[in-house]
Amino acid sequence: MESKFEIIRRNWNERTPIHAASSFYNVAGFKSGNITLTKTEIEEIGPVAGKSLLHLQCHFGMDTMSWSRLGANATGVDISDTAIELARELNNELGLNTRFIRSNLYDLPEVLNEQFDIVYTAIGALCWLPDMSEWAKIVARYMKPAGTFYILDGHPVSHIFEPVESADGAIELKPCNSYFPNPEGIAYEGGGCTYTGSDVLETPSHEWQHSMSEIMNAVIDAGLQIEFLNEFPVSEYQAFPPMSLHEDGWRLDQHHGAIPFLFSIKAKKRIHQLVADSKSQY
Amino acid sequence: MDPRIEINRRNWNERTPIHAASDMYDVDGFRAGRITLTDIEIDEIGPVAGKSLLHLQCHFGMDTISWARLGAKATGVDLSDASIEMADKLNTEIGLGARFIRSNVYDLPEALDEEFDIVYTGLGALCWLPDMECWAHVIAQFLKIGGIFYVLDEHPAGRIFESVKSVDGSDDLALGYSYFPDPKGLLDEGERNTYAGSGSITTPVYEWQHSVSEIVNALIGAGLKLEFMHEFPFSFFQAQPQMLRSGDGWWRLGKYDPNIPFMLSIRATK
Repeated sequence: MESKFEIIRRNWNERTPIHAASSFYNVAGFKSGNITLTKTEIEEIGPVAGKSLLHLQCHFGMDTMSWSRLGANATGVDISDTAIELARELNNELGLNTRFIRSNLYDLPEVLNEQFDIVYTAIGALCWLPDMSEWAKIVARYMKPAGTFYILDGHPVSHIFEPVESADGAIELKPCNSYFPNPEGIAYEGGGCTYTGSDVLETPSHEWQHSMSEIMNAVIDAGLQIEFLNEFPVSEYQAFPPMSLHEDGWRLDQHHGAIPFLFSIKAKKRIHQLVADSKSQY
Repeated sequence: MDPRIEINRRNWNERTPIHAASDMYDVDGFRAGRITLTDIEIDEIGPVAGKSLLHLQCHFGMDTISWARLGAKATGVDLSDASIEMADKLNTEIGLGARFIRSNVYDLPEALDEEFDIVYTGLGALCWLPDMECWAHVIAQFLKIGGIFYVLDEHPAGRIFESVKSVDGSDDLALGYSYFPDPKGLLDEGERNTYAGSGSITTPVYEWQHSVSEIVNALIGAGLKLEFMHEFPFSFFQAQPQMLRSGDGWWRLGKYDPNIPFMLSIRATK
């Protein structure tokens, strides 16, 4: 049977040209100098000039190269062959000296042996990973002592809901999906849309739900110390029908209540943990 | 002082005799030796024998005295006069040497000057506090270096659903409230039942929603290091009409089980 990582790799190989042609990704805007990162990421990570930055699950690299534009020595890693090809093309065209590596996240130690000031992961990443504990160990392995890890991603509470029409025709958000992780994940057959528009993908895909405690405990157990967790009532896309576009993103219309759509975690590597690890490992 | 805390003090004075007479609190069973703590708390805090433990928001002290039954040198603090009077009575009767102090959490530094191995908060506590930052600083002040803080309480995401009727008339759930904190809090003025026993309460009460990030960042900001957070798909009370009590004592959803986290625990060290 094809591994779930190979399913995801093929799925993202198919998505790349569709995304690259979409107004959502606006490649022309990026070529003309746009920084594709959110204000939240830029503020919460802080100045990156002169720092080495590893971007895990970088897709075709616009965010990675945006960090280069802000002065970082950036490296991007992605599972998809077409995404890394496109990232390299853009990088050559723009002369940004960003490095790109094609690798499944969990196999990265086979092809990269370095440590970085910052390890970074952006929106729409964790749902493609089955195992948070192994993920966090990879994150920690690539951080310099006292280095920073930062993630901004979809909030697990927002994944519980589905819009359902009630008896009076109004849309209500009901708790149709589990908040809690299931190691089996959810298999999606081919024929679905990607998030940038109505284009249909032929390849199947596979996703996993990760709870906040699963993510936080993985980060802590990998030897990182959490500096903050932030939760945001805004989404980068219209997740449900009763949402409106505001200055900072899509928000649920007021009378429905407010749910967290995004979260961020910043953590640093604990130095005494490293000593403990090196003693217990051998 | 925040006048809303005085409002809550009167409310909990009124609740105490009703709770003390209720099946839910089962004071007779407690007198006969019952440990009122949950397995989750006992497992996640670990052995307490010989350790000093400060229980914040202890109500009338059955959980505090249960820690004493497990060997801790326990101190309970509550803002309600009626609760602390009753806790003192139970404590004298049971004779395990627990100590009780009447104070709201925020003013405790005026009444107590000690450091503890464990600072503990039990179920149904954080919603009665307006300010998580000050709360966390009080916790940090009462912890020894290397001491642990532990809380088991409602999960904020379990509090955002309202009961609605589905098309076929059955009880259903939909998003109804905000996940995010509002410093104004929610004033409940009406006459209503409390969660245990029978008897109506007439005094008003304030509640506050606190998000996971607000709680976690308050603890980190007070200088504590997080050890773990756990989330549980069941509740310690019937949070929604369709919930049923399982054999293990926890309340679970039927149709949507286990989609919603109803409780969380956090352990942190100084």
